[in-house]
Amino acid sequence: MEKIDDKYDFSLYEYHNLLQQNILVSYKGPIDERIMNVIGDNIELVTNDGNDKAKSKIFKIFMELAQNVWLYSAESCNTASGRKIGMGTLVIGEFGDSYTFVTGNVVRNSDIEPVIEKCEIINSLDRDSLREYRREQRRLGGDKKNSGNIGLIQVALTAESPLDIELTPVSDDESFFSVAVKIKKSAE
Amino acid sequence: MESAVTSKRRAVDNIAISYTGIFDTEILSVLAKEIEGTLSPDDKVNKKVFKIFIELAQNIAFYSLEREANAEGSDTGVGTMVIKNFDDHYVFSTGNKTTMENIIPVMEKCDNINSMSREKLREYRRLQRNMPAGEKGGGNIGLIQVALTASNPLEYSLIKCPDGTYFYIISVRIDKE
Amino acid sequence: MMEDIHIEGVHEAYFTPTVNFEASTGRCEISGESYLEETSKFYARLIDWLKRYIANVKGPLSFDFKLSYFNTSSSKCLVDILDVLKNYQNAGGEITVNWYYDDSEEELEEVEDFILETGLDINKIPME
Repeated sequence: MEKIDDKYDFSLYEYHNLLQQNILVSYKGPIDERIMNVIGDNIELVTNDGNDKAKSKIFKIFMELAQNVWLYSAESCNTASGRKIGMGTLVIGEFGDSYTFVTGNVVRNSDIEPVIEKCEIINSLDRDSLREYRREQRRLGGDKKNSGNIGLIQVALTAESPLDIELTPVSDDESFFSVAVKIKKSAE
Repeated sequence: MESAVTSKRRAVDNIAISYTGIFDTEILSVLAKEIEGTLSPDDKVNKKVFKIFIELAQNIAFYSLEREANAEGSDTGVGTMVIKNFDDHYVFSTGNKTTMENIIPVMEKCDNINSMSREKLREYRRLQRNMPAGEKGGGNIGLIQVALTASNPLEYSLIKCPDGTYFYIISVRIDKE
Repeated sequence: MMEDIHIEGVHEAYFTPTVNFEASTGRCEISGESYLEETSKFYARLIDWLKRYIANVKGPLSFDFKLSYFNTSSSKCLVDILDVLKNYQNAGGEITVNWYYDDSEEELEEVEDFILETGLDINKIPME
């Protein structure tokens, strides 16, 4: 009998090993209400070095970004009842005096281009301009995708740090899109 | 950023569901539901993976060397679970920290289980079930059950960690029908 | 007069099976899923009921197992129940045991193993 996958064992070890250094919780799979709830509870638990403010910030950011995975994921699975659920990755890490929250999912390039532009705008604005940008976007009101944009503005405002975005092509028309934000453990 | 790189690798690694963190009852129940409800269109395969998950995840909760308090403050094992999806099969793996002393008997059990025919394995399960109750025996039946459910051998590996402890990985293949 | 046991199944963090034991008719059913926090404690109550029924009511027992999932700890307790039934049968008790299994080779094997393990005659019935 051949080994299932030798290299594979080592990658599993690597995943886990990151936990020793800086990964507190990581999940990849369907992102639905149940997972949101249980990971949400988990965040509270694992971020025990952070003050209450930091915990509530991470929770808010988690809710926004996990919803974006729902909204934009090009990878999905179907439940027995035929409901489509977006797939994505959620990672909470710890680096020195900060927590890092990362989400990632496969996106269609055509869907994500405007989002990347929005992220670039967000990262170039100071706090006051960002708040004005949020007001303006809110007034636009409208569709699901736009509320996703407000979500990203909200994340940047809550984290008080830029959105660290990365886009890696996985095929001709799809890419893996990840957003990482840093939250200080001693948030004010 | 390192963690973003990890996420990216996960996207291209055939991973259907993976989780790293504490293996407490709440999270296990949600992961079990994800497996049961979303993994594949074939309910029979989902049920097999679900059964294997429950047995192996419980082992992490009980025996992982790495431990954290859960929401109720009770001590719970930390580990990793990965389900990979291939054309004609899934590979289910769990990994957790352990010591050489604790893991040798488990590896011996796996070897023993792998050396048996299906008939023999069923006989072994009957025998184990009639042993007096106790967690140790329970864990033993768990591994037999995993091998019978998967109809494939238990593959394990052990990796030495820099801190002198060991990381134990157990993988099993589940064929799609 | 003996009490009945009615336990409503729960599918939450743990899975509690639905249990209906009726003292007046001797009809007993365990259905749903069994994955419990305190497996032995849960089943001890059921086994205690059976032993009292056998000692006091001394009537027939008709047992339906309709479990779509049970973990290995539960399977040990199920064998304990079957042992009690087998002993009653050996002592002249009137026993019918129906095991409804999910239609797969593996689950059928498992019932066959319960039969081998306990020596009890169990009717194997595929679940709808």
